[in-house]
Amino acid sequence: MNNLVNSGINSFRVNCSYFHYKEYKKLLEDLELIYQNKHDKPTVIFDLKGPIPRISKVGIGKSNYIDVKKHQLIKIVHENSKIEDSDIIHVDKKIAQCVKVGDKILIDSSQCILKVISIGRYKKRNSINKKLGVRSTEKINSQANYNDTLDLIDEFYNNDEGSFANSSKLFFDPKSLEIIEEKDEDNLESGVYHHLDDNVDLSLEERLKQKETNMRKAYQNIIKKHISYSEYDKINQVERLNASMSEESHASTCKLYVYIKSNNSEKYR
Amino acid sequence: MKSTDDDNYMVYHRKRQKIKSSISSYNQKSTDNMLLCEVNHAGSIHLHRKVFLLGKEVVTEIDSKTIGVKDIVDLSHSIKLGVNIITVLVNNANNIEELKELAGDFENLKIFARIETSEAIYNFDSILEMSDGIVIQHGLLSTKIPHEDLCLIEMYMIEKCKLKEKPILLQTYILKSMINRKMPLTTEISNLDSAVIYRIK
Repeated sequence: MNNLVNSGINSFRVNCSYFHYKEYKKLLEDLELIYQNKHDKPTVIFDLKGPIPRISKVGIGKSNYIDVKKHQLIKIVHENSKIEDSDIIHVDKKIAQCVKVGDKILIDSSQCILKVISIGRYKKRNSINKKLGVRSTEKINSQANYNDTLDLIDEFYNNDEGSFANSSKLFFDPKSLEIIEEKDEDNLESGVYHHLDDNVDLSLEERLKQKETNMRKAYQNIIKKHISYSEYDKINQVERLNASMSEESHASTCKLYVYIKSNNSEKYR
Repeated sequence: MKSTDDDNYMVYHRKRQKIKSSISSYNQKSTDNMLLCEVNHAGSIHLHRKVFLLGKEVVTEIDSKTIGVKDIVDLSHSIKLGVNIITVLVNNANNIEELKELAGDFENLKIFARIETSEAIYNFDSILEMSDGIVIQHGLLSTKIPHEDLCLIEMYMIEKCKLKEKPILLQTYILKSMINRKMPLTTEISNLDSAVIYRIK
């Protein structure tokens, strides 16, 4: 500040939307100290915040900014919704009501341009459980995961195109969302898939575990046959975001979605 | 697991399927609060930056008041701290009247109208009469008005201010490239030149 004043600057502009009262009070106190022994006093300009919506929170935690790449998907949410994700922006006003699909959103006078793909509603997960009268959220979500994936596998299993005859070295890890090369070929042998309803004698927990192992084996075949890896990343990202807009908004459910791509047409859930 | 839990799962599934079908239709509702966007132009998104739509007025469509709660708090603090000038976003002359009423009888405090919206351009004459000065947001206006008209409109506003003998500030990124470069761009130099020629304060 001293250097600025000595170099000839005599007016200062403070943007109130960036600062809290205590912060700009400190600034002005510092200015007073600098101008103690001088005849002239500086002019101070205050910019009031105004009604234009601003970004109130970015990404996870207390990060100040996020870098975005072309074709990346981003969610814009109202400030009050408690979601934390790396690709999410909280805005202090409800802009969803005045936006249509295809509109372009500018951030900081065309520093970054976003195109609206879809408009939806985010609902808290707890509110659904309250309606259902269930206390533990984990039970529902875990069951929902399995039901989803089971349906998917059943669909694929019943389809003529889908067969798990060929073994492969690829392995899809639902936790890290990555396709890993598996050296152990013993686990990936053909014809491992069992329909779970056949094992009636097993307890539910054991059945679920068995489902999980079978699911993994199913994924590796589906991915290798129908989806190229670069495409998979893109599709998975779209699906994750779309799914979180729906009522469950649960990361683990979204991770288990897989797109099935046939020769000429795209079949997907 | 109890059988009641299984029923709950079924209800849960049905509800979710309904919501999924409603989302796929993309019908705009008053309850919508989430936008899914694709990045067209890469960059970095910082905190507290303005969000607006290309060719649309977000302020009027949201029906939000031009003077919010934080503005009133900041105004009261700025009076205590002895600030010289306050700039406020304005759509019409009534907004300045409101602010003057809030500020009370403080002769030292000057209120400048910040022109960022197309509505403010339409009501420029009445705003100029009420305010002590004008601030033109060059960057934001360029997103609302066609680029070829922007220069003429700014010229008009500057000439009007000169006639009324009121100060005018042009708020734009002048010499921003010098954050990363040692020398400014030629376009930035010409911007500065024109500001000096038109005697913008």
